[in-house]
Amino acid sequence: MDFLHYDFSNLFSLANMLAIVFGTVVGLIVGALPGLGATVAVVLLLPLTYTMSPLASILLLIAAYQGAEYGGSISSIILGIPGTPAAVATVIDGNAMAKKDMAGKALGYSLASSTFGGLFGGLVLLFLAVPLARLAVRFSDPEFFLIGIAGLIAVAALSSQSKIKSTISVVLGLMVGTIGLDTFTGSLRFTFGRLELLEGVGMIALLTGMFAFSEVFSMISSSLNTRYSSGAKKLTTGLTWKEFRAVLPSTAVGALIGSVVGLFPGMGAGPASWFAYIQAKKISKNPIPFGEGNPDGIAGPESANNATVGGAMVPLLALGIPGSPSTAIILGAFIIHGIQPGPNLFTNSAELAQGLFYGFLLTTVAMYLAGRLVTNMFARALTISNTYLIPIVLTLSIVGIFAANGLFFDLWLALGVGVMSFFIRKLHYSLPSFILAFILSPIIEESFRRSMLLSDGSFSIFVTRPYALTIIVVIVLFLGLTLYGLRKRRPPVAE
Amino acid sequence: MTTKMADKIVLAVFVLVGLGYLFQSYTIAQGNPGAGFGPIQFPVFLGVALIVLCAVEFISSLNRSDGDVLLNIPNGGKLALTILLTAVLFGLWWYLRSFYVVACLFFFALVMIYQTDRTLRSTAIAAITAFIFTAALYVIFGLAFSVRLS
Repeated sequence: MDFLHYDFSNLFSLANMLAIVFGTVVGLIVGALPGLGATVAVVLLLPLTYTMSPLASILLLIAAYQGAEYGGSISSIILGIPGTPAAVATVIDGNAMAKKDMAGKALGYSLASSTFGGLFGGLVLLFLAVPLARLAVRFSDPEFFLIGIAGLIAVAALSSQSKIKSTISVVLGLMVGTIGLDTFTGSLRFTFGRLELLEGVGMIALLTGMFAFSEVFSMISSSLNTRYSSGAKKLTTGLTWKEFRAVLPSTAVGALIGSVVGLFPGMGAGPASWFAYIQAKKISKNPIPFGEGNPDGIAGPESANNATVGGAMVPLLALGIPGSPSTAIILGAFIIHGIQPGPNLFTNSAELAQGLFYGFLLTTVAMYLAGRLVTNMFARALTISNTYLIPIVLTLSIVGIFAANGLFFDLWLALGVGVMSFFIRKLHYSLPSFILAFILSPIIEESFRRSMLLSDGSFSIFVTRPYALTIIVVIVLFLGLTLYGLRKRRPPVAE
Repeated sequence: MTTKMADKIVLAVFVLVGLGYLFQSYTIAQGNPGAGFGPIQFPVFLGVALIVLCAVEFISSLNRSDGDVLLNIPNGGKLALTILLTAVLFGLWWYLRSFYVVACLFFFALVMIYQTDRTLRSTAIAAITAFIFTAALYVIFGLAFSVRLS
């Protein structure tokens, strides 16, 4: 319980508070804009972090991540267009309730349950990250290799419409991760004589090209002349205690589902909100049918998508493995400040880790206050025409890439990646699978090679260590369950 | 072009990438002779895996009868212009070593491309917005956070 002894004056500094408030506001606005999600919000704020302290930087990005997850529900409820993929489930009952002239009430349910989910996720982070890191300290290279493999399998199995295409995305991500100087032998791999590739492909350029550029290109292609209107609805997000108590069971279940789902790489808020919606349907006692404005249909998924934020931060902080594209960018911010997340974070940078735990809870509170006070204003942000929004996002993304390393090479790389991502997304290749594999690639290869050195080239090292064996059992169980699920879903063949 | 045709082209490109990657791996191997698990085994495994997976996807796509739709890219011209203008921005920025002026012109040009009705009023609004936006970038990144953009 070392984390309970913390000097809170480090957290409550003006810089940290401003970072939380600014991150929340930007996250809410970007999350509310249809098409732009938490990843874009975090990417856009990244260049601001270079000159900030590590704690303020990470809190800024976490606040944006949290804010965007709630912000997604604003456009879902008011316009019937999900701002983020995670807010798709919210559209069904949220928009139905808004159409009954109860948009403010629907937003109230969304805000209250998002806050509950965010706080629950924060507590999961607070109580799980340290024990997991303590366990991870006992891990060595064979275990880290197997954890990396487990992450890849989870990503490939759970994302994309096609499992083979998702696996191809994973392999491509691993391949790009091998570019650069081989730390074991000092040989240059796939750098084509470019000094800019000596330390590998720039993560910020890759992420921004893949998620922000390709998103902008999609907006040009699909909704260039769209101008949304939020109308003149009353959007005060008030909720009585009685109303909140009625949705508390589905909110609590949503929070639990979101936290657990967030722990697994590749799953993210989208599936979590659907799982929570299905559970809310099962446990709801509200007589209003689902799909016609049932409050439980808003509370469950909204609680779940915010709870995934805390869940996704657990493997990032404890193991150094990001669970989602947004946490991959947050990992980038750690690396910019010369900090490597993982089990040693809690000993080498204990103060930062503790600050993040409590700061995470503060970001949730900030999200609630911002939602209560200025949802009306955020709803108006929806009326920004894409004619102006696209140049804003594109220019900010370009600034972000250049600010990272000051390399023009990174700009061209991001443009190329953005164009390619735009096309391969249309063919259902998985960008999250690619990016998580790219990040896991050095962990997997280096752990494997070190394991082989330790065991004199014998593969028995992976089955003779208890922790490694346990991870193998978990992998086999997961693979078995996935194959069983695929077989069960296959339609019967006609005789 | 249909999605099936595009799929085949992309798979062919990936196979070429895999082959090129394998070729490069062997070039690296020649410069690093020695025993043990070296710098190329993992890349070789990945190169082979990519080619095999592409082959599996290609074969399974032959048996798939559904999902072949026309690959439509609305506003393709505007999209191509955006990509071209972004490349021009990078080139001019590198050549002039000045970000803010070029970014202001870039922003203005994009808005003008996207606008459907270009009147004097809308042009003026676009110009003013581009100027205000670039000035805000300078204040936030250049002054407040001392981020060097040139």
